[in-house]
Amino acid sequence: MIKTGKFLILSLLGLFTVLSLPLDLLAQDFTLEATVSENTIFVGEQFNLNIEVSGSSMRDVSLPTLPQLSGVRVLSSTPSRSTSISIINGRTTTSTTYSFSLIARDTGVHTIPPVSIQIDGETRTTNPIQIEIIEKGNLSTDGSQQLPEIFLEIELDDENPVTGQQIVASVVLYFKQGIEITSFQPTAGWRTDGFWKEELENIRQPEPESVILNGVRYRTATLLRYALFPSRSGNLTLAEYPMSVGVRTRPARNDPFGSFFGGGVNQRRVSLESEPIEMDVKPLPEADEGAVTINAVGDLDIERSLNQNSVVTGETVELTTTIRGTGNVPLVRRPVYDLPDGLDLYTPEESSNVERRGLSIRGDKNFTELLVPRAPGRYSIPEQQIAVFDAPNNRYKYITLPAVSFTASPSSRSSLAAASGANQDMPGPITGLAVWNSQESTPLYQTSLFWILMGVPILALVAGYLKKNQLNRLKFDRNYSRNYKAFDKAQARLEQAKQAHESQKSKELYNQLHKALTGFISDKTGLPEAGISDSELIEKVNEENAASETVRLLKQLLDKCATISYAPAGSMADQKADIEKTERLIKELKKLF
Amino acid sequence: MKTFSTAFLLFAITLFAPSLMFAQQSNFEQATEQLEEQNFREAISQYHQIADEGHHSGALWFNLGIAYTQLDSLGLAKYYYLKSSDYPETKADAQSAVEYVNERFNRRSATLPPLPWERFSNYLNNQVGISSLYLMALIFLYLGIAGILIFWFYGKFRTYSYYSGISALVMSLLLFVTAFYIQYFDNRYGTGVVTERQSIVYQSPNTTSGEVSTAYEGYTVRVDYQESEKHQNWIYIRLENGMNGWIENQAVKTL
Repeated sequence: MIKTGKFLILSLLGLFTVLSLPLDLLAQDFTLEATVSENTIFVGEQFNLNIEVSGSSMRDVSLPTLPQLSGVRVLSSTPSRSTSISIINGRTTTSTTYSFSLIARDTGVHTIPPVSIQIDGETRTTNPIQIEIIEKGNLSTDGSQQLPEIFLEIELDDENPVTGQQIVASVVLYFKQGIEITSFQPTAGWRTDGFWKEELENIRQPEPESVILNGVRYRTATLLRYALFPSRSGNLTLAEYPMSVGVRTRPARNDPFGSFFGGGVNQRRVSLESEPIEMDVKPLPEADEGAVTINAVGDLDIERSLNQNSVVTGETVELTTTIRGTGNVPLVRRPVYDLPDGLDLYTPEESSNVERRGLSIRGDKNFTELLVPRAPGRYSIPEQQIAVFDAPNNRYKYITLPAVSFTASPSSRSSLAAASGANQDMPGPITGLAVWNSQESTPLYQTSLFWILMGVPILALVAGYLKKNQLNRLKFDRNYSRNYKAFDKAQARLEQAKQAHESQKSKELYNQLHKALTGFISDKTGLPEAGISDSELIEKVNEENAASETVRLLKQLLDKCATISYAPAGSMADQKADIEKTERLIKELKKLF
Repeated sequence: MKTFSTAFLLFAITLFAPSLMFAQQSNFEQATEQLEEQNFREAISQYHQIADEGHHSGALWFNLGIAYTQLDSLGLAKYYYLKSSDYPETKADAQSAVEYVNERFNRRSATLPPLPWERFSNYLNNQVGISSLYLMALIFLYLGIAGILIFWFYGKFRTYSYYSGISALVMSLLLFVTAFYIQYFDNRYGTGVVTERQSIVYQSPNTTSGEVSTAYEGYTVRVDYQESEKHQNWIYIRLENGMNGWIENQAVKTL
């Protein structure tokens, strides 16, 4: 009795709660959906029309009523019914599916009109569904186009992306009816040169769908998805995707041994490869002048901040830039700011966090730059525009980072070394007495002394060469030797004449004077030393255009020398005068030759 | 009266001459104090004033380099350190400072190793010096000519003097050729440092011509003075990676 009473109280309480809820809310707490098992059907092929009603508070649901259908025949007007109940977070949802079996009859495109159903006394209708009925085998006109029983394809959501844009590559398996996939395992070695690749985390199990390819019905399932980011522009190739697939096939119906051997199924592993795909990756367009490009593509937000606004000279300030959102987060480059002078920069730190759920990559990336002010003052990093490419709209979005600044106060240590902080390798300033140079020293080769020193040996060499030549000529050229020595020889004879004069040997005196004159003229003119008459000598002198006075004096002296043997010698004064005349005459003759 | 005036003048010269001579030293010390107090711009201004008055020293250029290093003008800092390295008293410190500054440049040029002959001529220029080469060449010239003269006029040592004279003359000729070549190289080419953050190197001396490369702050370049004279506001340079081109002259400071 106690138990029954408790149940009754709870039931009444529940009923009161349900009735007290607003009617609109109750009315909308369900979903109604009509689907077909295939959208493209061959003539004569059977397919299902499913009406699914699901909700948490339905009390009375009637059987759906099929309208008049064109192009198809209804196998049974009473649908099969299946019900499922799920409880999520304490909420119970009931789902009822009514399934009608239909057979395609007429080719063409047909519409299944809305199906009516009574839910809690109200009539609801489904959406109309369009189906296409085709002749079997119409599309497989070309034998070469026939597809294998099972094959793999990579399907891209965009085949002409820009650099850095995310594209989703889906690994899709196609297999014919009668083939069951028991397992699949990607094989290592998918080359994606020019792309940064991330496997997306697929939460749902692959659900096969039905498609018709070249007039043949295939079942298809997306097994894996990858996010690809082209890292360069141009023609890029996605290599063949390798996969090992476990398949189970039923033997053909006309195989007489099929039912005896193998238990009616054939299980094996096959290795599949997709076709390579060529892509034309466009480069990112030019961003506005003044905006910093960081190779960011996607829906990204960027922030910038300093960890402190006031430091002591030599201490570190952290400038952090955070890039967050959906897009090529891991490929984003560090933005380069126009930093003020007087800051030491150290290798920036970089960290990123990437989520791979769903169909896109999202996450955040942080760049932390370490700035060390070397001198006191206010350091301001100006406002900066960052360009982020919005691929769907094919344009840049510009994010403006506001200016940030901080103040560096003087260090307590006044020395420069203290300000240098980590710059221990750098020598300090030079103090004390410096070595001063007030004018540039002239190079040696630009001084006159250098050129004098250069000239002296060259002159010495030239002089030596000339002297050597002269000596050689004196040695081997008799005429030159006589000519060269003529004057000295004449002078020597004049000396002997003077000695004869002092010894009062007048004949010897005139003999020496004669020899001096004739010897000088013959030496100078290259005439033989002996056998030449005085007149011939006078004639030779005449030929040299000598002055008449000179010729006359020469003739007079030669005559006197010739006749002195037969005539008395003159006085001592006359003899001395003749010596002097001869001396003058030789000097005159020297000028001639 | 005249004697008194002369004595007064001599006294005045004796009193003020040292202070006039060492005015730059006093200014240098004041500038260095500013540098130590981290008043870098004031220090730079005072150092430049000393240099403008015609005084220069390794210490002056070195401290200028430090001041520019602190102001993050690393191109200028390198330039002054390189100037300082030409002075024996600051050479070692300046060279280590250049290494330190080079480490801090964000971009460094690829460096083409110099050819053996270039290395040899650099060695001769920096370690031996052009004047020393000329002096050695003169000595060998004198020895050679003495040998030849002995060969001509003194029969006693003919063979010995002939060969030693010719050898000395050949040596002298080699030294002269080397000295002339290095002098020509030294006069035609100079070293420059890029002081702007970055500057484009063009194929021709105009901004519409093709770009050869980009020179970044701190790049050491070889300046061809002879070519550069042909075009105002442009300098013909050779980058360390071996590429040649024209750069606007305000981007480079030549030593």
